[in-house]
Amino acid sequence: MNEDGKQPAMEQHQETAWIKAFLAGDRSAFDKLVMRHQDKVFNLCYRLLGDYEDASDCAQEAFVKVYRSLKDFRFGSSFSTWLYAVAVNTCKNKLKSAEYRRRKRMIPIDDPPEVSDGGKTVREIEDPSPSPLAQLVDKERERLLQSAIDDLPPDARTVVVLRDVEGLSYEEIVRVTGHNVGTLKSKLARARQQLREELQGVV
Amino acid sequence: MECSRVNELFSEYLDGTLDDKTRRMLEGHLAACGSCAEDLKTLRSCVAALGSLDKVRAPADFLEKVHARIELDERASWLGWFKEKLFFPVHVKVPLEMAGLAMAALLVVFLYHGTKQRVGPGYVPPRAEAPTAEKADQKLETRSQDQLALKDAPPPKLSEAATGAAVPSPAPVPAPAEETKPLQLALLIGEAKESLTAFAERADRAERGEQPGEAPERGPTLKSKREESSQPLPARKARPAAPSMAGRSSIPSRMKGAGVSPGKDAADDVRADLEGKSARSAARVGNSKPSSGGLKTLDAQVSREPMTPLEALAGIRGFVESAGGIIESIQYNAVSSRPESLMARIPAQFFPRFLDQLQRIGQLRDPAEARVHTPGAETILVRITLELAR
Repeated sequence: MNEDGKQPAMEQHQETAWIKAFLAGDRSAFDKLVMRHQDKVFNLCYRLLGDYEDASDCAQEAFVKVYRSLKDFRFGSSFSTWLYAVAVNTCKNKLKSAEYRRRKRMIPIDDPPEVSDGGKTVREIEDPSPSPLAQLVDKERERLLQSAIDDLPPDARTVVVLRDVEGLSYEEIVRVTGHNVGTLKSKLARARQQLREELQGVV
Repeated sequence: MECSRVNELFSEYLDGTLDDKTRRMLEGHLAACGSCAEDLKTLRSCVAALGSLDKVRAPADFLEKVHARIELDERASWLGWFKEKLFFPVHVKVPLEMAGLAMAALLVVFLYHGTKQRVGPGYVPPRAEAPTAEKADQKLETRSQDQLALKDAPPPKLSEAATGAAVPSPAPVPAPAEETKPLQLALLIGEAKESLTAFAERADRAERGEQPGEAPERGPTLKSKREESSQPLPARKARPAAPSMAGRSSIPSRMKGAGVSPGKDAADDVRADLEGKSARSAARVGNSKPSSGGLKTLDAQVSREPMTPLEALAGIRGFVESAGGIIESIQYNAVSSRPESLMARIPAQFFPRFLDQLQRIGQLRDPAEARVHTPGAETILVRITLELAR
């Protein structure tokens, strides 16, 4: 999908060829599909879940589900829309899981150190080229935005992320979520209203 | 338009999905209401901020992780399939009491069925099993001395002796299309109508083409037989492949062999040897040491000697084979190992002659009834029960 959430016809045609090749036994064709969509799916999952590890887990799971059920894919629809639907449902299931809710209730007092493959403890060092203060402000602002998204109910969160973060059209959101347009508009209006109230003074 | 209603329309206004009339009304309200205008400005900033959030990229090893996960998933799906098949859930809830009741009912039926088979009114004791192959061989080897006289006879086919079941034979008898009930014949063999000697004699004559009434030039009289018995036993001659019953049966050939070497001097020697020994044994064994009893006694005994069941069986076998039939099964007594009955299939055209031949061995209980059989049948299945006359 491009910035407007629309996928060019050329890309769709290529994806259809990859899917057919995969169904004919070419597993590398599936890798091409993953490579093309992994960032968008990962970002969607991250914005819906607000956690990098959870996002990684759900994005992987979404691709595994697609791999398993690609034989049932109907070529009349867009692969990316179908993939988004799978990812959204996977994230919703994650949000509903008791383990996820329990972890979210715990407040981390410090960021855990990242451990590299060799077991050596490393910390990510950011590039301070623009301005350390500006970077900090941007990070804080993004954290607040993500926090506001996380506070939304799952359905509201989904429509806001799909519409305002991922930039999908109403039609695509309807296909991904299964809501009708009226419900979608209503949910989106309430979600945006809640975000405005939370982010007053931040944006 | 109220402010609350205006706030509800902000989202669609930003997306540009409001119809013209509503949009104009909203814009009119915003021009007059500073608070709503401020809210719209904030909301626009929020939406813009959401759109400007950084795009989080997937980790570099994302594809490898997906591969690993797919592999794990495939392995788990096999395990899951196995578990599902092994411990599939019961879709219908069965109360424990009901299951117990069903099991008890099954047990009762099973036990009742087993008891009924053993002591029920319809109980029929199992027939004595036919001797096994090994037993049959052993029994044939340990026959009494008089039965050893039949050593030359072709032993019953192993499969017949062992199972007593119908055994397909390479004999040229076509199998009937459908199995018919065998014709039951009872043959009294305690009182032989014809001694084996005479029987062999008649067979010899038949082979030579002589008339039954003709006296043989050198018939197998007891005298000649007695004389022959003192001579070294000639090697058993290979019989010509004549269709004659006597030519196939070992008993006639054996008895015939005993009477082919005349010689008066030898007969005298034998006469001396026979003194004090059993004539019966001499007659039976033929090629072994003659037994007690004078010639007259021997002659008399042999001519009156009833056939044993084994001898009768050998004779019947010869008749069956001479008629181009087959013996399908032989039933032996489990205790005494003597043949009790046999099942044979005889070509219909030779069946009357077969009945006549049978009556040389023993007495048929009801010969007239035996001649009544299915018209048009190619073969006749007959069960011959060997009855010992008391």
